[in-house]
Amino acid sequence: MIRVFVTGVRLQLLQLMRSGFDISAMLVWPIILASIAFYLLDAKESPRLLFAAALGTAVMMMWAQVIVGAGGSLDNQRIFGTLELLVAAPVPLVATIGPIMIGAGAFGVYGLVVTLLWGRLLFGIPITIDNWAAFAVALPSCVIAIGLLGLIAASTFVLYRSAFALGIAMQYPVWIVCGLLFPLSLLPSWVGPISWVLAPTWGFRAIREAALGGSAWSSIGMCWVVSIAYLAISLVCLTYFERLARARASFRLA
Amino acid sequence: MAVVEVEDLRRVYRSRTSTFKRGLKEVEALRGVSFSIEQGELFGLLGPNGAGKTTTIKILTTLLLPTSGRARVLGLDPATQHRELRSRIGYVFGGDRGLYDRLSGLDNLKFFADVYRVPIREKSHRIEELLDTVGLRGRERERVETYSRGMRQRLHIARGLLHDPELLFFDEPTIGLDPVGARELRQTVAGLREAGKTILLTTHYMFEADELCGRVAVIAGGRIVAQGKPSELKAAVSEGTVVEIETYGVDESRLDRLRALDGVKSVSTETRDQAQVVIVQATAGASLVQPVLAALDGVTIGKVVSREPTLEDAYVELVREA
Amino acid sequence: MNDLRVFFTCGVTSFRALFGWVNPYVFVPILVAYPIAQILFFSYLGRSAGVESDAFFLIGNVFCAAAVASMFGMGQAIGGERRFQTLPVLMASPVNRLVMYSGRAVPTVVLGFFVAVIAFVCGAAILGVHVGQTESVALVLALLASSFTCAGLGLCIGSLGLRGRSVGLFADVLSGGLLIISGANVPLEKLPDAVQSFASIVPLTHGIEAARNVAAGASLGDVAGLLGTEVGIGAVYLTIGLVLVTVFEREGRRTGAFDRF
Repeated sequence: MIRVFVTGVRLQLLQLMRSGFDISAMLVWPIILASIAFYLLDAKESPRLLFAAALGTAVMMMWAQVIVGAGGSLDNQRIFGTLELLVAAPVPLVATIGPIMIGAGAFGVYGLVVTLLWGRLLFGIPITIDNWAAFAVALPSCVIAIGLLGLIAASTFVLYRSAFALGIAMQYPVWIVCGLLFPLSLLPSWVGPISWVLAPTWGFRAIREAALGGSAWSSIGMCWVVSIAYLAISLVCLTYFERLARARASFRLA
Repeated sequence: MAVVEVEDLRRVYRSRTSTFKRGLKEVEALRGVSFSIEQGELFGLLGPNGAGKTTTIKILTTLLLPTSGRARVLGLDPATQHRELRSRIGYVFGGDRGLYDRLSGLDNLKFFADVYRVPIREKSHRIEELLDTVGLRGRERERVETYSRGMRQRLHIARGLLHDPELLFFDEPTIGLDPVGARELRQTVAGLREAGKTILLTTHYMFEADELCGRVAVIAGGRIVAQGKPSELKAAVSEGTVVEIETYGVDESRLDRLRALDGVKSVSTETRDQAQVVIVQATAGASLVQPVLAALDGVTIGKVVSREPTLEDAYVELVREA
Repeated sequence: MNDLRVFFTCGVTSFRALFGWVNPYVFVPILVAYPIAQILFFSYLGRSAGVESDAFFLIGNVFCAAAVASMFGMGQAIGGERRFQTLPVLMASPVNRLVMYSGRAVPTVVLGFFVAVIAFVCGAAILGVHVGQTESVALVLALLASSFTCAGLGLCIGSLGLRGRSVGLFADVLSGGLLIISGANVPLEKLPDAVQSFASIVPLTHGIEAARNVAAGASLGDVAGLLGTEVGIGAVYLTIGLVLVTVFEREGRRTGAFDRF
């Protein structure tokens, strides 16, 4: 199972690295979003704030790649007829679809590099990491947590025809609710609890605290807590939705 | 006057070998093709995949410019007089694509009727008529994505006939169809020939060309390797008779005896089901059944068939030589 | 006469046939929910940075929503001919290409406008932004003008799509670029001079400026110049797109590119 998982992640990364679309999108969008943040926040003229904004943008892109890329990838599989093959394979769906999500999140690290480079080159934002050890752990923890959250979404996408549309629609709401570019204090109080169960919240905190100082390890711990919860939920969801999809014959409809 | 005249048509495709390397790859799809089609004829262009059939049709339907050579369709040059020509020809191709899946059959026809400038007064009437002709009446309001391949093909034909062109180009129309669907389609094409249309049909099915076409050109490797009526092609290339004998084990010495017989051109064997079939090709006129059976004396024999060479034999031989 | 028929009827039919987002399962997430969430995101970002007002970001992102609809709409309505391989059929027909392709701009502009209106109404309600009746007329005109410009840019994108390039990629990158370059989310004065000059030839810039001026109290007459410029830019893009389509067809006949997907 681990072998299937690792191979899957590697394959997904390879596919993404060869896709002109994905490389261009991951090159352009972080720059656009980060630049908007930098120009708006410029009024405060605080390099650490800008650096946090850069990290926030990177996590935004990780989520976007997972949820949009995943939805689109599943739709493509459906069109090419390979989704049926994945379902029919002896390995459980979590081991075949999970890597797609996590690979997408890992691709988001490329977005992080682009954002930091852009910030450094054009806005002179210093890249200083407070705790390199924590950062080195925080980054993969963030990727995995976001990927597994995407897996839950993907398990519902298996059922519906226009998965890519749902993926697109779920970008901004998560960016808003997880406090990636602005604090949650700006939002109504009921948003708080929702943010606690979402991976990007903890992933971002972990990375930001490792870079700028704070309790990185507890945030990393929360990443793993939610990751385990997501895995459990997606196992249940995948089994249930797969059965439904087989009953409704919705694997082939393109 | 010939409706279509093609003289020494050539077409070279150039493509880059890869995105990064600077090499250019040249493929000579047509190497000097010449033929002509008379009014009211159903002319067949027969050849294997990659022979140049589709390239030829695309040049004649104004979709592709030739590299060199001359073509005239209805007296017009498809390369330079394409605007006038397009209203007078119909183009039908096989396969799954070429229709708007999300629209109904009727919507597709209405759209193409406008695109082909069918006068508004005639539009509905023609569409109704064509739906009956191709047998899609009752299914026209369903989305094309629900159509079977046979139905799509019929819709293609209806589309190609909307503007009542005098000359029709059919590019492998029966490809991918089941035998029943293919037979119905061939009947439709034959009907169009009866109605006086001039048709160029490309196919890689020999029996189709044999059944439908008045004249056939065999194209292989970008060149016409033979032209004429199907009967002439059969006679010209594979002269003679073929005797097939079903046996249950024949040794090499007996085959040598057969080869030594007067009039025998070649002897080969083929395994079909449980039996071994000996195929003897002989010159025309040779009456070989008795000598062959005598030479096989002592061998258990099943069926004996003496037949004419088919267009398939001729085609295979022609294409093999090319 | 036939040309008029092709322009309107075929324009709508092609749009229906090739634009894949009309079904509600796609339309609602991408063209309703997404723009509203985008408006909220940037409004909150603006509040956090203490820059401009909610109305600033509402107007900017409503125009961006129209842009997305128009660019993807036109891009798919033209690039889709390659996907369904109806391109050879159309190229072999006598139809006037310019009329046929430009006719698709009409339903595209209508779609862009419609999407923007929904986003505006919902966004304004959530953020508590109020718009008077006189202002509405000017806003409608500004939106129509910008939708037209984006349809023109969409035609350029679609023509590249005919050539086998990815329509989705161009539409995606350009709609992202417009978020910042048009001044939708960053006041133009804050951007580098080079970018500001570039902004003047890009869709949305003048439409957004007109709309913001109106929201701040300007009359329709005051912004007529800006609207005219926006439409003019759209006409230029439309022309470029039609030229590209013509050039492509000529090239396609020469190289045999119509069938390569």
